[in-house]
Amino acid sequence: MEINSLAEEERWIQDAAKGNTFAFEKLIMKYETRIYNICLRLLKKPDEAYDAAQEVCIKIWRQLQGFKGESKFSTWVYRVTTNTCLDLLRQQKKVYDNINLFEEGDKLSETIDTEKTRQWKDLSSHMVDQEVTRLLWNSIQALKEEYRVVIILRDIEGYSYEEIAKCLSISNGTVKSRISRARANLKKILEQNQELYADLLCGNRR
Amino acid sequence: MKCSEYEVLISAYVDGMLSPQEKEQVVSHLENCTQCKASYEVLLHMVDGCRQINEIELPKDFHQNLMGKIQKEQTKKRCIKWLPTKKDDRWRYISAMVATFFLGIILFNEIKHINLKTDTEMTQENGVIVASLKENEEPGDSIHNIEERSTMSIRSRNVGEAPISQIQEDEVVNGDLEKTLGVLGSCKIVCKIKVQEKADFERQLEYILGKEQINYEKAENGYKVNCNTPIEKLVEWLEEYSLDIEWESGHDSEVDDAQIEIILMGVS
Repeated sequence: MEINSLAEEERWIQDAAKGNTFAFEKLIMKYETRIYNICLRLLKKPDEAYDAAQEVCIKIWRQLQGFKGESKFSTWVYRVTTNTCLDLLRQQKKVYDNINLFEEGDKLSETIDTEKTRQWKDLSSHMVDQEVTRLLWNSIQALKEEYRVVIILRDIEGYSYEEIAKCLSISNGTVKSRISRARANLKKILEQNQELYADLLCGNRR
Repeated sequence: MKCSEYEVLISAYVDGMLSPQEKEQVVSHLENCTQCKASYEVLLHMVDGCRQINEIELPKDFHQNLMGKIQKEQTKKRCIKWLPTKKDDRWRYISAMVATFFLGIILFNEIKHINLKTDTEMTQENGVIVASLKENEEPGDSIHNIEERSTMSIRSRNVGEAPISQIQEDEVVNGDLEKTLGVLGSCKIVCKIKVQEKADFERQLEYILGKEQINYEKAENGYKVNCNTPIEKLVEWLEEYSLDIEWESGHDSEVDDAQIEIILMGVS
């Protein structure tokens, strides 16, 4: 079935590239929600994400003829999406450095604070899903941009290391280390935020 | 290896991105180091949490809105096909225009020499030009009067420019003429623009065109923009953005249907 749907997609791509809007509709229906979600994660504001996602879909329509199938179609789509969003972010000079909790070079303490991380784990396992999600999401927003982007692409959107490398034009090695640093930073932020949430939670549970 | 050095490896281990040797190394370290083990578990938990961040539903009008734009773009694409894309064709196009122009002049000169009688009709049967001069009541009138009173129509089977405005829609029979209709009633404007940075200009222009839902084609050194909405905003933006701007064949922001050719000049 997987192979069938791939062959079907292949046909849609070819037809859409020739200007068949019906084929394009079939094709884009498979990806538009995902495109919108990536835009929403990266740009934060729903109206901006809406415009950006429309722009991405139109770009895909216009550039389909240029897609020669060197990479997987999905990879290409995500690449167009990520690049469009990153361009917009750059354009708007929205650099979220103001919430830079860590110094350049991420001098994280050498010793891992086992007690604190354990606390967070315990705490989160008691929270209902929605609360964990909110805590996590807010913490991700506090990351500086280069980390925020890799966490969104890898852990939320599930891009492979190769896809991230292609989207961001960095090497696989850099992807690996950047993800690791991003996660370490996220963990730190979660630990700081947990106190807030712990109070809230205790109040709620009583 | 110190624990801190394991950090990258543990993170990659979570994603299953380690070589068999590295994997073995990490597994044995995790067995012996409680701190790293705890940290690994938190990482797993965190990544799992991220995956549970739900996908948000597409806004209701998104798909319809998008397909509307795509349809519009596709219709436009068909409409502007009259413009030859190959260099070869472009030359044919230009020479056809030049030929039509000169034939027009020759024809006009011919008229001057014709001894005018009432009901003069001149037809050139080669299929390129058909000119008809209708009734001229006062024989011996000056050329000036003839110009005023006679109706002259020039039909061109090739792609022409100015005279086409006289073609009535019902006269359009063959495909070539149909294509020329793309220019009918529209106004062609050439804009030479100097900008600081090409990439930035392109990005911003494309953004604006997209936002205004204006169709365009990227050309060799600029853009071919097809407006069917008032071009005011675009003109305003171009004027504002450019370092230097030059308009050829004038620009009238009242125009409703314009083709603007934007040519980038001296880009760094």
